[in-house]
Amino acid sequence: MSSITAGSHAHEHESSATHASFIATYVFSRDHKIIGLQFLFSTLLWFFVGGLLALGIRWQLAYPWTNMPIIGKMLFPGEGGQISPEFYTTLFTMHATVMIFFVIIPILAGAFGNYLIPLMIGADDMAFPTLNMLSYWFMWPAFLLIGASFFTAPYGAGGGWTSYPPLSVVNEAAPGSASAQTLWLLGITFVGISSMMGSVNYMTTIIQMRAPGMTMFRLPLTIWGMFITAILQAFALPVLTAAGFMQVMDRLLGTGFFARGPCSKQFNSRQWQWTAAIVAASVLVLFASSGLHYDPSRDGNGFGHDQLFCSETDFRLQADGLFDIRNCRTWLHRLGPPHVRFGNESCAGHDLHGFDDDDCSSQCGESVQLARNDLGWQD
Amino acid sequence: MSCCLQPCLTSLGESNPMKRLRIFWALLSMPMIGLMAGCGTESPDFRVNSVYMEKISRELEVKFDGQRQEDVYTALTAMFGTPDLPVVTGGQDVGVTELLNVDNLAMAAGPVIKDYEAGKGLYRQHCAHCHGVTGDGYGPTAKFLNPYPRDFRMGTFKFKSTPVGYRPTDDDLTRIVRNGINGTAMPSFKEMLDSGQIDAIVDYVKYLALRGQTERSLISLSGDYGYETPEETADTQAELLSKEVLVDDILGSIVEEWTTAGETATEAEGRNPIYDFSSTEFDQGELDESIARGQQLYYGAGACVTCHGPTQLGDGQTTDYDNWTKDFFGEAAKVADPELLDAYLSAGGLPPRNIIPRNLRQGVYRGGRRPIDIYWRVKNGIDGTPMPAASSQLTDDDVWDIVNFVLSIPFQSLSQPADMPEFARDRN
Amino acid sequence: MGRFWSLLFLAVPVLGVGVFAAAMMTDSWPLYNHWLPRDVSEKGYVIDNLFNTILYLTGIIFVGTSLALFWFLWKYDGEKNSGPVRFLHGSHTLEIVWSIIPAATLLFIAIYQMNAWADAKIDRPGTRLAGADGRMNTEDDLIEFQSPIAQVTGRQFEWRIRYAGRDGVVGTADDVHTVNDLHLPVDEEVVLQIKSDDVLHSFFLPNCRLKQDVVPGMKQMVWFKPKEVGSFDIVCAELCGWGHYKMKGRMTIESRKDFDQWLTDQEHIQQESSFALSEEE
Repeated sequence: MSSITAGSHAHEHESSATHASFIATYVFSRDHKIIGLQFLFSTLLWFFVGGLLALGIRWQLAYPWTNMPIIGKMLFPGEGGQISPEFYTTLFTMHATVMIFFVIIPILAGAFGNYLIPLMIGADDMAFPTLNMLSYWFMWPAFLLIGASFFTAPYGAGGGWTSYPPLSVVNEAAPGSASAQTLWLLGITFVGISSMMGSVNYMTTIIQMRAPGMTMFRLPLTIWGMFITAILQAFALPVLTAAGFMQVMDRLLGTGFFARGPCSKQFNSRQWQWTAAIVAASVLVLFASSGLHYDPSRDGNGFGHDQLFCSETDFRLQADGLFDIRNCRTWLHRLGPPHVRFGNESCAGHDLHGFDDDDCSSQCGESVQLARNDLGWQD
Repeated sequence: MSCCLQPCLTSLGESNPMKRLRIFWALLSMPMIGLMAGCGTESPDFRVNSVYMEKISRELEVKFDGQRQEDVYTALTAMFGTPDLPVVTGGQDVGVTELLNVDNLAMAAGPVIKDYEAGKGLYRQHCAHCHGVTGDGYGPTAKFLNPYPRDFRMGTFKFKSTPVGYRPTDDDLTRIVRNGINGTAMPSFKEMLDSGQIDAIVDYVKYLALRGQTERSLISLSGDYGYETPEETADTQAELLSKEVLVDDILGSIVEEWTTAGETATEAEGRNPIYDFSSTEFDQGELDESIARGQQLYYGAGACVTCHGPTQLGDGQTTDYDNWTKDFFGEAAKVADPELLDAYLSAGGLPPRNIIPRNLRQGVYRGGRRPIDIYWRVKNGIDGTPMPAASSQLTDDDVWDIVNFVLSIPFQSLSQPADMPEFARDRN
Repeated sequence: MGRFWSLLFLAVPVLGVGVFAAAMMTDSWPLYNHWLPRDVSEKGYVIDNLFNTILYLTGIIFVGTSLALFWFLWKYDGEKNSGPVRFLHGSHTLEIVWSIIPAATLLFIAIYQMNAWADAKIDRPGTRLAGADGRMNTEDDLIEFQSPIAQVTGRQFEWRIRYAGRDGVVGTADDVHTVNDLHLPVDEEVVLQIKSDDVLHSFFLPNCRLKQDVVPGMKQMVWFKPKEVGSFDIVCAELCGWGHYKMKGRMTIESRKDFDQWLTDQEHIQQESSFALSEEE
């Protein structure tokens, strides 16, 4: 116990003693608390934006095909103030994107993780302060790209937050998304990079930087939750980041990772592999955060809390672990066996070959008709 | 709103939690109330046919600005009303009532109102998104689509039973709305609308075509008149905007084309040889012979091969344009003229696209897959496109041979796609 | 004050249960039957049972925990309790119990749903034939699958339907084509082949409790046995572009006789090759 308080006091003393510039202290800060707050306020801002988008969706559902008062004329002059179908798809695509990638992930892992992990394990700071700073600042390209994608003419990214190919890959499938979809995918790539940096940092900090006497089994449950979250993010998120970047290549460079045939399922598998993990991770953090209200230092019994800690962590840990393993398989259930089977078998070599047309079409049997001008089989 | 905002803001420091909660709710609900109380927006107007005005002003070297344009559109609005209140003023004198039902117009026109199940504003709910409020094929989605949505303003429609240059019949338009156009973005409305609603939409399409054709006639006529001096202007207005010119001459001749369309439809006596599995007269051998004859005509007298290509892939020629584009440019070669293209685009035309002959191996028939549909395509040609009518040397039986050949192409082994593996599941 | 908040927490289970109860009430204010759509498929009840089981299971736990939360907030309100706080060391037994019960529940659901999944996705209707060993009901039995009655192709933004026609094979010259209009015979096992022309769609028959993603390049089979005559919706359940909302079709279930008649009529309409002007004109 005493080691924890000693650690954080020493840390405060140190930061007050150095006289860094305003920018180094508050903007490009390496201090985990400042970074945590930066994450918190950025996500709250996006939380508000996401809420406004939800309001737009609700408006259309409540009053379908009516002119939106006041701002309608400004936003959709072409329709006389109505939300058009393609803008509606953009609305809920962006709502989901903002809420998932800019709110749930950064607020749980970025804000609470950064702020609480060093405090609760008795560390001076995160293991890699510069990486920590970068993980926050790598969110900004994502903010800007996805923000820009919303305003890219003719309308923003409308492929759904799931970004299923071929809708999100082949330009003719959602022509209005055009470059907005590319910006969106690039934005998601940056979110992925940022989250990977964060999760590497959390794992290392929790394993390496605990105060003397703070064994793994004495860790608060909150930290266990974040630890498992970080593991999940570190192993599941790169899959999505890579898949997203492959979509960008499909769009820009004309590769064929997801553009044809059942190969499109590969992306779905990847998307759900990651999604199931991140849902599990978010829930874990929320579950584990219930441990926050319990403060070992207040029980007044110097010998009691050890025992309690051990017993509680011991069993909750097993429950968490179980939950985690189960969720790693959730994506299989969501897609069902055929998706997984063929997503991974029939086009297994396809990732590597990329452009190998024969490989795919012989496996898939049929090319996909997308442009309306008779590219393939129809009817 | 600001008057009630002030006390709210000052009392945010209120210590009583209950009161604070109430203030919170009040603040939260204010934007919503503001949104709901806001007044509606203005209705959209018909779009000006600036592409055609650009064309006429180039031909006659006149300028369509100021009084000239204002006169054309004042007359047009007086005749046809607005998108919310469509009328055909003076139409009863020239037989518009035979052509369309005014009650139907009211049903199809207007804004999409909240209780849209009442069946109003049908056009703007279902059609305007691609075809535009004006029926100019310039809706918000138009530029994403290939082919572009139809511009009704020339009164030209592709898939119909009448020969090139004639208007379509009601049945033709109804069939397209009901079944959609396979291979394009035009969906089938059969399950979405009942037959009364489809009739209303067909009538509204005809109304838009009438309006568009009248607009074009008025614009080209207006180019001949002078607006140099006030006296000239007054004369022009008296002459051009008189009932004789507007209703009797312009509208009258346009309406007549439409009302007589039904009589011009091409008759057909039935597929030859008979092709009906349920019939005892069906003979596969005869059909095969007919297909072989059709194949010869395809490469020979029918001259289909020049556009649809020796392999029927629709790659014979791919550089032509449709009449909606050529209307401005005059001929296909002029589309490449950068100055003309620039004028076209800045007047609001969609970027020109080549019209590609149909790939006959796909079994996708835009105008319908019934033998009669294919017969009409071959016999009459396709209005507005480079597809010509069958030459007069071809007899009806020759045309049926070509139809039989066309219908057999998708089932040649060459056209069949590689077999897809079936996705059987194992118990797991 | 704490008691006010406890009442707020009490409102959560009350409203939660209230919404479900209101939705289940047929034809009454305020939701007018927002419950599951009418089930017209023979095996639809299996899905409904699964849904209900999980709903009741989670519902009971939700109400229980919410009530417990309310009770603790109410009883241990800081303003009403001034006595010293007691410390508990926790209970091994309790922790074991609350870890094992959820694990067992999950395991139960996993096993309970296996047959529903197999019925809907694996056991395709067909006839069992004796395999290499010449005996029935052994490991190597062959199954001759029932061939699909029609092929349904999702396309931006409509369902194109192609009936097998007289030869019973989809893809030949005698196929019958319709758009957004699916007719099926009642009381017969129906197999449909679904595919996509362009992007991912999802073939959803709410009344048959059937939903399957339509993946471009994949030929998939779905099957069910309609048991009621009537007209029902076909919808798309996967965002497929701006016109996703338009992708709506109609499924008509009718007696075998009506179905055959309809199919013959469609065939005749499709073979129509003569046209004569009417006399009045």
